[in-house]
Amino acid sequence: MDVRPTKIRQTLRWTVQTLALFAVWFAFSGHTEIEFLVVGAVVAVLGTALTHWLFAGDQDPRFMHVPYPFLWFVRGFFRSLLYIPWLLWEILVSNLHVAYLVLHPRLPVEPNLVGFDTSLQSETAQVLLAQSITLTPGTVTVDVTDGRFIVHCLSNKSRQGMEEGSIQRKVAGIFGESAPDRVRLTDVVRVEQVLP
Amino acid sequence: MNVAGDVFIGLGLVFMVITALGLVRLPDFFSRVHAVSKSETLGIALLLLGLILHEGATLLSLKFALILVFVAIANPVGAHLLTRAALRTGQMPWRKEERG
Repeated sequence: MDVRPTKIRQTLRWTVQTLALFAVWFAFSGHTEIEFLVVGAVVAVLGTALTHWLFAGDQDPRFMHVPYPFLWFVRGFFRSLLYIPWLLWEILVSNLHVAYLVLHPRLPVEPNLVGFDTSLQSETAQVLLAQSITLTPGTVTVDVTDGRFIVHCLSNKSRQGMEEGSIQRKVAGIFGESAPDRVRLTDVVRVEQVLP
Repeated sequence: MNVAGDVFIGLGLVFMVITALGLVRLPDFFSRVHAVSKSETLGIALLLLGLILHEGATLLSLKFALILVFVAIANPVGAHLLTRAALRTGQMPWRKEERG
């Protein structure tokens, strides 16, 4: 369910993004002289304009339609507070796993390419899932097209991790969506299976 | 505080070395991307954490933290773009044996 952004919403987005960029500029420069601030403001506006030209354009940005936006936002915020430490832990585990594979004398890697369809609807959730998969145990998201993920696994252990689908459930939890207990993986062995 | 910082920097360097080793040892393009996008993220994270511990709560530390956030976002995106480009130009991953 998507809704077209209203005028107010778009103005709000512009303002928030410009202010955020300016804050980052200020943090990095650390100068309070007027010329630095003016340059920072110009760059912030240019940056915002550039991202809107590159990413929004005339295509329909997919906003999620939720019945209680504020409640949904607050719940999502607290759930992501829980998600980030969990993700950091997963990143640590995945690093140790990859380090083990690399340092093992026989190099016990079993790379394989798998595909699966996600149950996540919103694009934001899909992006977060793709990023999280890339950061966690031995898996890299290769391609995402219309909710179909192509993932490269470095070992059988990481493949099993994908099958359990715990990342997908966590992400679904943040965005208030649903995810299955097990993910059905299909092997990708020929290049024709993935080319558009 | 300084000792803790040194420990973090040392650990970060260890992961950087493992990254380099992985780049040499792993069999194909796709698995090499694994080495870079994983160990490197943790390596840089530990290095910057060490620097933050050395620096204390200053503006410089804030900059380190921002770099950390940027790397954590940019690294998986880069890995994803590289592998996608490889797959779309017809490169298939190396496999140990054909399945079934």
